[in-house]
Amino acid sequence: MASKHLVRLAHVSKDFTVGKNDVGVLKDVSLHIYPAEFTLLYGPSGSGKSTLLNTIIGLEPPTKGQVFVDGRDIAKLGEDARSDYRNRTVGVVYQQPHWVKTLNVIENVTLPLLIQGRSKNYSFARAEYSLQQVGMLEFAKRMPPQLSGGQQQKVGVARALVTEPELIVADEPTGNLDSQSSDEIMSILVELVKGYKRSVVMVTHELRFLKLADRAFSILDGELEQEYDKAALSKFLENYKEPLDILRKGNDET
Amino acid sequence: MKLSVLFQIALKSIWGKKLRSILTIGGVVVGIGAIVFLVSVGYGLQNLIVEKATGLDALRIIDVSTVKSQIIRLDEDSIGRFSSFENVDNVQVVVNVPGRVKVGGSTTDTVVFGAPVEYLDLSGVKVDQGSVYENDSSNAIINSAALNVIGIKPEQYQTFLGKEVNIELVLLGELIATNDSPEEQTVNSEVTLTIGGIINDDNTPYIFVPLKVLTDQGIHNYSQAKVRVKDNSQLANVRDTIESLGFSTKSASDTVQQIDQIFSIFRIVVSGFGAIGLVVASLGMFNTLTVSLLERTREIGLMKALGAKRRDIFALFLFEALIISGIGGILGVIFGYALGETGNYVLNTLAVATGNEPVDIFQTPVVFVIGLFLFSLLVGFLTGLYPSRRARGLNPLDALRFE
Repeated sequence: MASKHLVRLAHVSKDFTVGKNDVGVLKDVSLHIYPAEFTLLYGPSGSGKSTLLNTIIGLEPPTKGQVFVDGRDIAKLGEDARSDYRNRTVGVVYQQPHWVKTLNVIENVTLPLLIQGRSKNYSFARAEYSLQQVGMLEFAKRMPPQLSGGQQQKVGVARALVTEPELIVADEPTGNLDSQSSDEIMSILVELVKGYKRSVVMVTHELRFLKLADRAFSILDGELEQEYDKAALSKFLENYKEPLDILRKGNDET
Repeated sequence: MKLSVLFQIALKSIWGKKLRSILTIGGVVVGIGAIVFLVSVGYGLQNLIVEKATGLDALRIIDVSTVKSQIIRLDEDSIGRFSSFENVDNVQVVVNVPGRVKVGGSTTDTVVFGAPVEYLDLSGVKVDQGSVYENDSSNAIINSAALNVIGIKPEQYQTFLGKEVNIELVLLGELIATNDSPEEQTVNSEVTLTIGGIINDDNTPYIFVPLKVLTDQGIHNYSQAKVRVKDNSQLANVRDTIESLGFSTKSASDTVQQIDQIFSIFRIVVSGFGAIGLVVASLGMFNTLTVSLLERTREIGLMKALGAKRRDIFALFLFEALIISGIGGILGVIFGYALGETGNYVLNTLAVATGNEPVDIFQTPVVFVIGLFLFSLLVGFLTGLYPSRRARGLNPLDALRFE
């Protein structure tokens, strides 16, 4: 049994207004995320899993419900306070690489610490360590767009790690990568959970990653369809191999 | 986020778009440079005219006279009082009486000034031929206007020096009167003096004689006193004090004030022309900042997603505006100054080549330069305000998705 939760979503709903209609993207989602666990949110495109992730990191305030992280309802915080929360508590890895283009790799990695107001010496030392963790230290002085997609994504992970956050969220981090780069990123993320006891929440539609997860939530049409813990996951993987392949193909087409 | 870090990021983003930044800064340079150049002409001409019109010493001198000479006398007592004022370093007096100069058979009516040598110095009186008299001598200085009337030609001036002349004086009663005997009659008298110096001045006939010559004839009061203050900043003060004693005063600084007024209007007008350039430059800057904002929308989203606060983003963009306008301001001031100095050099070279006195037409006071630099920062601040506020208000998620 998992210990005390790190994140708790309580009856979270999110509506978007399209024209005159309100479209429900998330419908009454409640779930728990635990420390030192690898949690997957999976579902087809448009199922609302990215919105769910953005709700957890405070970029998308819910229309209804509460998002507790470390016991604090971040849905109630103001914009600057949510920025501060993101900065100190969460590390985010995006599907698209996002950089401050005038800064080189290591400067980009230092940004979250510099934003905290840390000294340059401290920030650069931490950034070096972080880059080393993902095996990208030798590219520290390059400009990010000069790197391959896989390399950029590793630097993205280094940036997410640099503040030593308890929670790391990744929104389809392998979405644009070849399988080798994907595997490298995944092994880094798994190591963060196993070696460094971080809690990693990852959005994906690639079911082959389910075997790496400690917990998984399947999302469909904005609703939490199913929660699997470790035991349920292994059972699921045993019994549903063939449908999994069918599912995977179906998702790859979207 | 530390301001120094934001400043460095701002610097890098300006450096990252070199051509655009150079063009934008160039606009500010031209605008500020134009103002410096034009206003320098204003200052230069003003100083030139003030110097030519008055001489610098004149700005420290107050001319004191009395309007009610029967009641308030400009006598030894009053002079003593002026001298005792804290900021006064020199007081000299002059008496002028009507007179008549006789040489041979010719006579001319003339003004006779009785004044010590020090007064002549203070008034800037210069002798063109011969020399200035000693205070206790019986020499006199006559001007060419007087000599003309009595029929002495310029070529005879040299031989006229050392000649004796008779001068009839009309000693006005009010100049003789003292507190003990306030009612005195006007009397005539005559003195014989030697011509020691000649002044080339063809306007009205006058003659300078040592003050002692007139006081020996019984004159106790003076027509006018020149009071020199130690520093022209104290002039107004001393002047007020003297006026409060009932005397009337005049000063070259009155004229200078009028000149200053005219030129401050002139400067505003020429600054206006330069300001047109600066307005165009600030529009260019505004454009650059707005384009930069659009280009970097995703970066702003990223920085906010990574935890940057609203004020961090605001400061980042404001820094960019201030850096552009600051560099533009400094270079603009240098550019305008250099242009003015080049102008001075060319004009002076021409002046010297054509046998004229060299003058600086372009003068750039330091206070003005500093003021203008601060002004360019202010323009940058105002121009940067709108893009900075827009950047601050961006929603991080929308910004991250911005294409």
